[in-house]
Amino acid sequence: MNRVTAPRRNLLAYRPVAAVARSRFFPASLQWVTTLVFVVIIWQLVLGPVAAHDNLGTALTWVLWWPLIPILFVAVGRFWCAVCPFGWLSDQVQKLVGVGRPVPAFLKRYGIWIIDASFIGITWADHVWGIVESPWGSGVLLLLMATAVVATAALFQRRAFCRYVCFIGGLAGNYSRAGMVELRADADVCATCTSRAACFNGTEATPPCPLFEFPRTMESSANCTLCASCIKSCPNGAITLSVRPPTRELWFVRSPKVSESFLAAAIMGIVLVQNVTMLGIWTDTLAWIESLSGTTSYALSYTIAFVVAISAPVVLLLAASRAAVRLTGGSTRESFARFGYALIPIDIAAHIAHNLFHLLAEGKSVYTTAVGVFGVESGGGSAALVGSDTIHVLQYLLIALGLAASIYTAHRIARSREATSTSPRIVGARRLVLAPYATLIVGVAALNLWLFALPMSHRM
Amino acid sequence: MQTRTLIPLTAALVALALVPVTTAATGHGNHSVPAVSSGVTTASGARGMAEMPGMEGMSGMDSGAAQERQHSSRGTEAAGALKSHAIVLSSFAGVNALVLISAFALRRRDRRRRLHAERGAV
Repeated sequence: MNRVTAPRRNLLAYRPVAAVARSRFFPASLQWVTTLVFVVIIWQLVLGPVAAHDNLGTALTWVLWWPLIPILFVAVGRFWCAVCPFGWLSDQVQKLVGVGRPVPAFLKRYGIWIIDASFIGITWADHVWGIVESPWGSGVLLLLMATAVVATAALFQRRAFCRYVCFIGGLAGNYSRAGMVELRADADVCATCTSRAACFNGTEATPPCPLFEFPRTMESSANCTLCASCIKSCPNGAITLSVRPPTRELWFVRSPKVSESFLAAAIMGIVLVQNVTMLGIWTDTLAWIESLSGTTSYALSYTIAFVVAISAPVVLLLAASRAAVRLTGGSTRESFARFGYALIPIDIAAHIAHNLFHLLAEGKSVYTTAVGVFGVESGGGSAALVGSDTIHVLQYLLIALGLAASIYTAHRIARSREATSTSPRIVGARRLVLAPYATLIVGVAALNLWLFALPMSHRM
Repeated sequence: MQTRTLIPLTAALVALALVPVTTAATGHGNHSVPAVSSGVTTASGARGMAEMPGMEGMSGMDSGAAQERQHSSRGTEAAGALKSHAIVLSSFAGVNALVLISAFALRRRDRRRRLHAERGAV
């Protein structure tokens, strides 16, 4: 048995928490709020000020929401997905015209790869076409996503888009595994259940699980939005909600997937390339690529840098896996899939650290653009909430925390692998198998620390 | 109930698809016009002849004609951008309306078939 089953306090035992979770206004009331804000954002992006630094939509999306989202995933898992305006849109379309076809097998099978590809594609497009810096570009991106939501909701059951297509959903899934909140079902109570899986299918009063999860067998928080539908529909009170140490789920992944480990490595590459393009060294890097490739096309030069940055962590993870396999045996594919999850904590740390700069160095722009909507001039001055030294210290602390969490996660994965293996080469070789992955994680952390030490340009 | 909701929604989407085109034609609503570059920036950072070092005295020579040309060029570019934005917004509204109408038709067909099958079974 891989899972540690130490008893944890069920938050639903607290009456206020249970009352909120069972309320029919939860999470709908929050969803209405986010949808209203989303409408304002779209209006601003499409019809508001042309300059990003004057646009409330840009400030709310890229200075406030985007930096906060990875922090939210760690704190409360995929709860954002329960209140996401796209989820609301999906529900409304289904009520109105939903055909309710089953999700196609190819989407179920390759959905995570579609997510990986769309995440990489959107990041590439962002830089080449300047989506973040252009309110209109950001607006078009959101409208494209809205169209995809409308199409999938009209055709397929539940929130097929959120589960199998949304690139933020893929990111959310990976990060939420390291999250601190866990919803599970009590297997003993479920064994006596006669409700025909009300938690999965819903009841007349409660919708089914939007992300097709069956709490009885659910072992991961990757696809749980904490929407509380199962809490409401379970007639036996079998659902528990508990707080767990961050990264704990990553230590015991029973069926690791190459696609999820690939995403973890690719995210590291994306964060690195995003960092580099905002630094002074980007100009030199670009000149160097141009001299090598003999082209002056920015898009081509960036594509080369992008492909190298995305591939490097994947190739290095593969190399570490091969080294580990040579030392202790096993399969490279299995090692890649299993130990790729150890990159998630350092991914999250680097992602938050990068976006912390935008949040803290440009945070005031949310206020200035908001009052600007009402024609109030807030005057010039810095948009920073804190000084750059403070931001640097916080970034270093985050990377140090991510480094420690990643190394510890790799150690726990190695321990868990050792405990379940019968191979004599794996048993007793925990430190040996850990060495290549620890080297990779330390290298990634060192590179991030160096990049954060350099002055970065603003989004707004 | 659903038909009653679908009709105004589709009408709204179709209206949304048409309004930006009309707006582009009349020239209103130019909030969405992207910033037009004011010209080439030189190596010294000057944005035109008047700002170039040593060329200050030359600024009066052609400023009137140049401004007129620039205004006219800006106007053309702005109208072009507005039109392209309007086309993009119309396309989004159109595609979404089409998806909704198709899904609605599919749902009705499925229901009719189901009812027919149930009656046949009875």
